[in-house]
Amino acid sequence: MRAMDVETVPERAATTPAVRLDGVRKDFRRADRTLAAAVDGVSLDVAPAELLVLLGPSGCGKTTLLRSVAGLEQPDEGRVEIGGRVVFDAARGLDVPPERRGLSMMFQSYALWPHMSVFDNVAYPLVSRRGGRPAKDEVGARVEQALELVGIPELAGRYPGEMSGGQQQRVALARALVAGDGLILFDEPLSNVDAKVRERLRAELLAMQRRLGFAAVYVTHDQTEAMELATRIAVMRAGRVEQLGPPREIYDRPATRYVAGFVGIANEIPGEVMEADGERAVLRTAYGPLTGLAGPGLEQGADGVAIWRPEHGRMGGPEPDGPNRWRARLRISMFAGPHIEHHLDAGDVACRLWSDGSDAGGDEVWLSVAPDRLLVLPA
Amino acid sequence: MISQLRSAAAAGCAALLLASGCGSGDTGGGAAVPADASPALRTLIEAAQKEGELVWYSVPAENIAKAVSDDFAGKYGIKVKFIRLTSSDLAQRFAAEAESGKPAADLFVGSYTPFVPQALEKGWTVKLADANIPDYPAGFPDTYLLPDAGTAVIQIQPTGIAVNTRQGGGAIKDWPDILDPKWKGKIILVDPRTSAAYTPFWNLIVKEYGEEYLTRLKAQNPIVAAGAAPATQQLAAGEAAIVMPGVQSIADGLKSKGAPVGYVQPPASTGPEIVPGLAAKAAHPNAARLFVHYLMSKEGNKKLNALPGSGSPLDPATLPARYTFNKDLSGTPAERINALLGLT
Amino acid sequence: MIARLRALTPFQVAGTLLALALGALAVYPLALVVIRPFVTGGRIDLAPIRDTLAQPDLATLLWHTAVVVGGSGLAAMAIGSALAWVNERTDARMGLLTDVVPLVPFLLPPIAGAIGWSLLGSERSGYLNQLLRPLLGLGGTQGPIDVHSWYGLIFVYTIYQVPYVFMIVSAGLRNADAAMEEQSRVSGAGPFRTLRRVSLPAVRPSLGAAALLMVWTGFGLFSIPAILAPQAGIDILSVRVVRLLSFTYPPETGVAVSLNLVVMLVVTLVWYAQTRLLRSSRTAGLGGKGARARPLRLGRWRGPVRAAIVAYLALTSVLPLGGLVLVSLTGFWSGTVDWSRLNLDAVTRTLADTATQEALVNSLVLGAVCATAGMLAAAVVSVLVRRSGRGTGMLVDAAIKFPPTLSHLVVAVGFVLAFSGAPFQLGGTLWILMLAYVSLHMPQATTASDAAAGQVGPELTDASRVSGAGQARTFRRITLPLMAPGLLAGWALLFVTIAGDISASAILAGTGNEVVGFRILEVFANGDYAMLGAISILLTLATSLVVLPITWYARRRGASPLSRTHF
Repeated sequence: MRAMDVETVPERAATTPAVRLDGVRKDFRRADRTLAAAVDGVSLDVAPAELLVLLGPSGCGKTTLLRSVAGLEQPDEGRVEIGGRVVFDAARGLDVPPERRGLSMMFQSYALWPHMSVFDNVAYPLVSRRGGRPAKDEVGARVEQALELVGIPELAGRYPGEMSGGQQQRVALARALVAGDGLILFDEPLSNVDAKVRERLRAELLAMQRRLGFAAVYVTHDQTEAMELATRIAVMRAGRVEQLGPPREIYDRPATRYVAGFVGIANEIPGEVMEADGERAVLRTAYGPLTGLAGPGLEQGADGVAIWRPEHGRMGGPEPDGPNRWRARLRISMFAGPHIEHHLDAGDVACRLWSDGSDAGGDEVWLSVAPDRLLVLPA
Repeated sequence: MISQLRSAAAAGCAALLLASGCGSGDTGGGAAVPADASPALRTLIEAAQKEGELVWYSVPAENIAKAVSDDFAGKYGIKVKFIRLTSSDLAQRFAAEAESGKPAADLFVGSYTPFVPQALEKGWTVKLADANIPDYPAGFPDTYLLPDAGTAVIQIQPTGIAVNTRQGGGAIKDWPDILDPKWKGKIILVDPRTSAAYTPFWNLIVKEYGEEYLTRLKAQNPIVAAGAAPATQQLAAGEAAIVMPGVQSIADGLKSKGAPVGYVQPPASTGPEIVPGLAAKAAHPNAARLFVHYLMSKEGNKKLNALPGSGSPLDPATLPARYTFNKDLSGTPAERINALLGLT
Repeated sequence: MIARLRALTPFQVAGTLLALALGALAVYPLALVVIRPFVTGGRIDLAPIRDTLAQPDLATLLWHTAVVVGGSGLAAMAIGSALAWVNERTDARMGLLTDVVPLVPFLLPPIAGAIGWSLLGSERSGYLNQLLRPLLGLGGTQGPIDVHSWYGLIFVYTIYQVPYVFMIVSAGLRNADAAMEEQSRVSGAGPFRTLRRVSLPAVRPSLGAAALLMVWTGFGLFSIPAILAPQAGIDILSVRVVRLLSFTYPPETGVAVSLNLVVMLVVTLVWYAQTRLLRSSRTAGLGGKGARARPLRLGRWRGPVRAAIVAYLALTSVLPLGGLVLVSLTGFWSGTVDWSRLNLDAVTRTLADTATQEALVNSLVLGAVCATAGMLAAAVVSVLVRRSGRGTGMLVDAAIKFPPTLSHLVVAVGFVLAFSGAPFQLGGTLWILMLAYVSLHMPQATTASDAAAGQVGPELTDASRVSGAGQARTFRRITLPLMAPGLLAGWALLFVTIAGDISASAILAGTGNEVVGFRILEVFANGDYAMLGAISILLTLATSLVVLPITWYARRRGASPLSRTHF
């Protein structure tokens, strides 16, 4: 992997972002002939050796954004830079075709060419690039390295149609790695294999990315995958980036109800904002005032919502001390392995709570959430 | 390696594309100018031999066309190529090629139809009389000359009746015999809608027997065939006893292979009249003129009309007793004929 | 605006030029012929339309044509789809036999097929009738079958239409996810219900393409109705058009073209419906992931189904060829076959005929060259121009597809006017035939290549682009090899129809460029059925030797895991 190591960490990497998007917008025409934005003015930077995950439900524009970086889609507005080089600029009419952007991409369907052997599939980026193909032995050596890296050196002579989904995945990964590009794009590459294989590949992919040091933009709708892989996550909604930050920040301090609901499970309690000082906020709810961390954009008197994660609630026992407590009715408890999931009703608000097993006893229980585990957000 | 293969393949293709076509007459090597030729003919022969080649379109059957081509080629040492066409295909093709400015044929030898004077009028052909053909019209009877159309009838193909001898068709001698009720359903009618060349024939029938003949023929429930060739084959197979109008060369061809087919020539007849047409922009104009000279000569015309079924203007004995020329047969338009025969 | 930002690549430029050239090749010669009757003295003159409406029995003509083309089209759709389904999905398939033999009837040029069937099915002396009458204990001298009839005509049309459906639907079925059918079986539907409710809807785009070709070729068939229809009193448009063009001089081109406009209108409607269908169901049904389904076990139906296939094959390919062999050995069409008098006279005459030899070589070479050029061009056009989905793409598609709906006689005359003289000087050469053949067969070529292009998932080409390959390289290394099975199948269709072409050759072939179709016409006009039979059989043998191995290879390759596409 010597060649890759050297090439994937260019010297100026420390200062130049691997990808810079500036006001990228892409419209599409709906069936009723009206225009709608698939990508609506996205600007962000991807640092060298960073793994940025674009997370969102299907239709949020994440794949369109990724394809715009690859050059497979033409945005209608904005600028795209890769490694400091402008590859797209709507204002200047500049659009570098995908084959000259010097990046690699792994597709959701693997997109292996069925008429080529594994070796030829992996060698393809090496022999197709502009600026001369490497000597034959070098191609062989680099393909071999790449296949070894993904753990399938023995499959070089096989054809894609003769392999399992997991193996095909590894071939696709080897093909993305072989050219040693500083930027690799991933379009939901793990969505087609079963859970076990997916988890293992995810870990391997992460290890590889850390080791080879390439920058990656990774599209997924799976929040667990996003959490595990990402250096930073960009949560997308309707063509815009709703929140951009490290996984922990996204999880613990979601900026909006949408992000909170999309990343992990969020219990919500509606109410009216009584006070908000930027640090703390108090929400008036059906269970009385609830105190928690204040999210951005809170206004006194406006509708708000209190949000807490199932693992942060406490349940059962005598009436607890402290501010955030209320009575709830236990509907059902389910054993989920690492924890027990309880479904509860409090008034007409349902919530979920995880405990480590100690039974609450009885239908009516006390429920509480610590103030630094409760987040108050605008409704 | 690959590039070698490629160039070899290209060369192969080119060679095949150059491969020339059909019906070429053999060149009898080094034929000399006949000693008795007039000075004008001598000049024409020399000019034609310089051109060395002749291409013509023929309506007369393939074996006839081949026979005259070979004879002409042997006599003058000029390479002859021809293709055989039906009269309507010939008109279509000759017209299109003439209009494109590059006629492939130096002349056609085809049926006299309205196309012939039209071609002259459009300047695609030249009048034989204006073509400096030596000795023209060389003793051809006046009745066969068509000075307005600038040509002359060099062959007549009288129309008759083809019969199946096993089905008692031998009993038929003349056109009215066909109307005998016993032939009901056993008559093959060659579809008159396929070519204008059939119109004079039906005019002859109307002239001889009145329109009533056509309505009575319709009552005989004839089988309609797409052309004389399939009609005569059906006849041979026994689908019917009579083909009307029949073509002698086709009937004789089948008879010679053992088919139970005969040909009857009623005394009253007409038929395709074959005329030459010289292309105005011919690639080999002198060879074409010499060919016309040959076809109108005693020798050439005899060769052209060697087989039974064609009449020579120079030998009236080869014609039916009461032959009527096409030009004297008009009055009943094709639509009327079709309607009387029950064809739409 | 942005769409035009990216500089055109050389590949795009070449592809666009190619498409435009093909469009021009189709439109320009035609314009020379078609515009004239509608323009007199610099003014548009609609007299031909008036004359067309005044054609005798116009309604009968259109009605008869619609019944024959529609009836045979529907029958061909049913038979072709059933054959394709049995061969692709059930255990009744019989390897090579069911793979390629449905195409054999197609190898016989239509004029020979029509003659073959009139030899077999004429009321009195048809070989088949002579065989059946004693066999069924029927007396008399007529029947039981009559090919000169409505059902006879529709039957022969159908035989020539089935191969198109078979090929296109087979390709569609190969590409459709068999899991949907397995799901249907699991849900309790029987094999035939599954076929009707799941398999056929899944290949709707293929059926649409097949229907378009049905209409297109159905209206175009000329030799078959010319030989079989008059005797049955059936009036067919293609025959009427040729009659208008060739009955007398000058040809009634205006009326002929106006009548052809009816055809064009119908083709346009079907074309529009098909494009809508393609667009609406591009993502539905077509998958391809997952293993190939195990062939469906037909159980007690297997025997009868196989028997029906064999019977169909015998009926459609062995019988007419047999009729032609017999007539060729007898020397003429004899009502009573005298086995002792059979001889090889016609065969030796044919083999010794230099004109026929040259014609055969020319036709095979032209077939191969034109089919190759045509399919490659169609592939480029399909991938580049038509996939763009823009107005220009549609326009080019229309320019390529519609001119050949006119009578080939009109088109051929156009080619003479356009290319025979200055500046091209192609008259009497094989080049003019080549141009005409390619242009006339583009509809079949683009239909086949569209289907083939549809089987290549867009991600496969995206992956190549991202891997650093330009458009040209992507086309060469990825798209073309993946389209190969479909393109080869289309190649075979083109090769056969071009090698046996009669319509354009009647005007364009000559002394310098003799082809088999023209030779057949010459022999037909001479009334020599024996030689016609011999030439047709020779041609069929020659084309089979080329087409059957190629089709077989394409189908095997198409079915192998190597060419499975993933979506």
